[in-house]
Amino acid sequence: MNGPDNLISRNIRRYLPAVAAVLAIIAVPLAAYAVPGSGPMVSVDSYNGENITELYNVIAKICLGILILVEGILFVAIFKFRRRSDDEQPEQVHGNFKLELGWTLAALIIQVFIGFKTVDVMFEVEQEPEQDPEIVVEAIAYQWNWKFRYPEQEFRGQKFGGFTTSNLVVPANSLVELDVTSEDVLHALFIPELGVKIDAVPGRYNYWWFNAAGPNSTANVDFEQRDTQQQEQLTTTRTDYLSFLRPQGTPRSVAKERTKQGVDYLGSKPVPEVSPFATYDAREYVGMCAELCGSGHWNMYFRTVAMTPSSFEQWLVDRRKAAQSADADGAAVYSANCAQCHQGDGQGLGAQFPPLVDTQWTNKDTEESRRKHINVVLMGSNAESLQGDTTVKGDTYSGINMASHSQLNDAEVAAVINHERTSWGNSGGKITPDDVKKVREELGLEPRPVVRAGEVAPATLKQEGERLYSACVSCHGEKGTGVGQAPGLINSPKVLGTVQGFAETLLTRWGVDNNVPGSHSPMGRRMSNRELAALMTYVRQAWGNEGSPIQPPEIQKVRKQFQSNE
Amino acid sequence: MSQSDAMGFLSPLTEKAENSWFWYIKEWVCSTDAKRIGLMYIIFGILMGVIGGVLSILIRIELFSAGADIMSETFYATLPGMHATLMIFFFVIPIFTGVGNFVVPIQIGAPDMAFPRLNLAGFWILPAAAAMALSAYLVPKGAPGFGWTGYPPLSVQASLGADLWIAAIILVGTSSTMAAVNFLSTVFNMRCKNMTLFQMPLFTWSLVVTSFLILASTPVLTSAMMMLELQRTFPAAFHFFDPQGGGDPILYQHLFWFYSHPAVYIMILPGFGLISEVIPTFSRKPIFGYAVMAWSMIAIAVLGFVVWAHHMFTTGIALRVRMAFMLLTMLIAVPTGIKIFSWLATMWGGSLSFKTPMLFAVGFIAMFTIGGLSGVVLASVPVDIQLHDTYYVVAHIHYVLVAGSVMTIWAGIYYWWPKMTGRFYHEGLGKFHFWVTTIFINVTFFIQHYLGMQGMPRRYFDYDPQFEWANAISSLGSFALFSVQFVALGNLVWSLYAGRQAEANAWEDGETLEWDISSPPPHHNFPEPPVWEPVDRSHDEEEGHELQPQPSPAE
Repeated sequence: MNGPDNLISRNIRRYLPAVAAVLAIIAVPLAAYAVPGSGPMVSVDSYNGENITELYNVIAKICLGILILVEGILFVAIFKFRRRSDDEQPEQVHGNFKLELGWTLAALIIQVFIGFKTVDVMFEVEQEPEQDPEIVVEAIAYQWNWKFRYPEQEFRGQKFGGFTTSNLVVPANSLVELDVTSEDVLHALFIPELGVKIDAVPGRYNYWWFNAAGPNSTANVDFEQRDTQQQEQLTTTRTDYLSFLRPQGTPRSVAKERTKQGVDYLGSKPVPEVSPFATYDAREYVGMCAELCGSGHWNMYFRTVAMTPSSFEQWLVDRRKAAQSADADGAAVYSANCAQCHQGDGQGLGAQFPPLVDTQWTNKDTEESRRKHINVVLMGSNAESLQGDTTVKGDTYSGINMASHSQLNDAEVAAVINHERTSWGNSGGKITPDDVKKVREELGLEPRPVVRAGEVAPATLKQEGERLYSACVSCHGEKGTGVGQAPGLINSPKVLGTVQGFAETLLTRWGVDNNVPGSHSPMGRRMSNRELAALMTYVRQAWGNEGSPIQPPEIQKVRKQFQSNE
Repeated sequence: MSQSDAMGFLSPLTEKAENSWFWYIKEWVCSTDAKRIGLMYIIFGILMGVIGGVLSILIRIELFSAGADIMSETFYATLPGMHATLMIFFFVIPIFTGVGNFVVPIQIGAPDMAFPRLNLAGFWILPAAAAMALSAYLVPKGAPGFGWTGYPPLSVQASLGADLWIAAIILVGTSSTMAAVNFLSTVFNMRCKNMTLFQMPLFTWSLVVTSFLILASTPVLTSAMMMLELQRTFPAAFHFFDPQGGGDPILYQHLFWFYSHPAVYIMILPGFGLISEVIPTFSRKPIFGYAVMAWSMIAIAVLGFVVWAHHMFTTGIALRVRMAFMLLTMLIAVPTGIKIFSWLATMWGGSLSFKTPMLFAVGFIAMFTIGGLSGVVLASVPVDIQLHDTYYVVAHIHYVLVAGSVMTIWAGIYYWWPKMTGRFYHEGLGKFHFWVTTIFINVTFFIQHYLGMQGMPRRYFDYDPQFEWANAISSLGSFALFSVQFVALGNLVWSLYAGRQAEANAWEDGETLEWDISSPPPHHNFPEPPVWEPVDRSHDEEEGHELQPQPSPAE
């Protein structure tokens, strides 16, 4: 009754769903690889980023080829060798040595090819070019934000540095060196479009470099050709088509409130109108944290602003003016440093961030209240009045986690404190920059603005150095007496002699004797100039040593000499 | 055949247990029979998998749309870590141990494991550990919010929940060490006549290799956890990971990944072994290149110990060190590739029957390849630096662990279910489960590659709204993926009551020893000690019985 035609069509009908589904499994990933826009990576706005993206494209193509091969064989096998009758008995093959050797070698060759290709790009991307970096910036992460410290240096013959900002401002098309570290837990500095990612590790400086394309890059043309409204849609406007799925009614959580206040994602592309750098000829790249660092991990955005060199010079001039002017704008300092936690209206946020309105710190016209206020701004949660559980307006806050703001200069601290003491109904009385200066001295903090940029008070250096010395204790002894074959450091001519001679022992493989286990590696290399200066100052002045203190700029000089040789 | 004979090892042993559920359950709880312990492992694993799945669904609901939706950022921070902890330590690893407990003694012709009481003790540590880890949600300040990696200094900062978590991890390590010792003693001492090492079925081989991995790597994890706990408890005395006391947080990462990279293979090698059983059975052909398959597992295990730093490419370790780790990492693709091609070659020329276990095995090959290839992409240092800690990595691990481990777990459960219970599940529902799972694994995880390449970091409570559409797709996929698993569980429960009776050789073409005994197996597996008939493992037929291992090109 069933002709052969009928049999075939019945067979086809029987396997059609399976075949279609298998095709779908294969097609979905392949299509996704092929969809325009899904392939290329986001990092195309720097030299490094381009290299990485190019490498990715090569590897992805090889992988796509292998994927098609495997899925193809699988599909053919599924279709061709499906069981046609229940008593069918295929030939029993146990293996084929040549075939196995063949695909082993093929896999090996492909991996070796990818390996060599990668090693090539690695050296290109990671080794800092031989020329000196045009600027050096220290990126310091803390829970949950970033600060960028500019050491004393020169840009196009103009001296600058010794200040700290909350966004990373660099000249475009210039070699920028980043020295990345952290004050508390692990973080990672991530600027997707520039191909920059490096962990911020407490106790270490990690080096990275980049060369941002900046405002004249052709990569942005597509974006800039859109009108403003489209640009905003692409960046910061939240699409609302899913709003019906969001819970309505009163906000349930701290984070909900924060969202209501509007988190600034900075967008993947900037909207010039809302950027504080809108007046400069610059292009912005969003930066963020990529290593889990606690509950605020997701909200550590910063702007990476790549300016044309002339704009960068202008920015330096503007900064200096702002820093020198005695009447810093308290409201501006507040919104840049405090509003994220304490909110624009000073009401604080949730269970972590207390309000500033009508508290004993901000709204009591006494000498003690003013002093406590300055203390808190300078020291953060290390301030005396914030130890243990802190009660603010009847609510108890335990484990307050506030950053220190001692990087602000006296005028800025005074301005922001006065802003807080006179806004939102507070009337706590004003303070002057001199008051701040006094408190700073009492606390043993570095003066700001610094007396001579780059220099640090010897007492501070010694204090920092004592902490760093703990890494040396196991060999040189707690009292500098030396342990076993390691030399003592008391009255050592190497220690008390020239800066250069002392630095050599820490920056090169000086004195390394292969017969002496643990004779030291160039430990100082991974330290910043300041850390090294602090450590050396400590050793020169501890245990009865009476050497002179060493300042970070001196280290900068000798470091160049030792480290450029290799 | 009496009622109790038909129920095999499931039948009650005493009269009391015959008449009362309470005594029957007590008999299970205290049973030293590897088959019963194996089933308890599987039930426990599935339970933990469901809880872990709920946590992942919470994550996906929160990420469904941009902005804060249903929880606080502090609570969210606990989710990725607890989800991973449950899935890795309490779902995948125990389930494979469970399947191994059931199958390995039978496959080598032994009546039970070498140390039955150790076996039971090892199992009961797990529920205690799980209760400890989960109770972190009940103590003040809640579960630890530092991911499953627990990097210091964040994990030193964390509150009481972290101590519970650390204790749980140490207990899990103890439990899996006990299981590993037991597997090795069983396999090396209790094989039946003629069962030489290179006659063993590949699933047994995979458990042997995995057990060596566990023995060698777990102590390192335990030490890392002890160091962490000491530093947390006595911060003034211990500074292992504290730079201010001369320690280094990176040290922890080295110790952690020295365990956790091999742990990846602990989670996939039993799956490899399992697939090597399923495919020959449903292809009516012996496995292609048996010796090379065994050696490639050993090669993967050995290489697995020298690649850990590829999880740390952005921590600032030296260029040349990373280069070495990268090249070694890429080398792992060679034995893995051998396995994929050998499975394909096993199917090639066979007579393929697409029952549910086979579907899962084939789906595993199709999708695990994607996970393997994205692994090659991630091995390349500069590309990894760009993709590290983004959703690309999330996509990669889920292709390896969901499309890899979970698919093989399902293949194994469907494959041995008739043997374990004497009942067949519903084939149609099984196929439905397979297709929906396969489609939605891709919907959920494939799009995450895209998110990663566009620079969305992982473990983010909220994200740039430009990523919203892709996250919505991923969330929808995960909802479907999670719900369909309950169809499968329902199917398995249904089979106990109404499933078709299974023969001894339930799939007709099973070649290993478990298919010689009744389904479910009797209490002591074999009425009399079995004798294995050596199988031809040679490459060429002219050479006849070749019982020696072939030198592997992968070595």
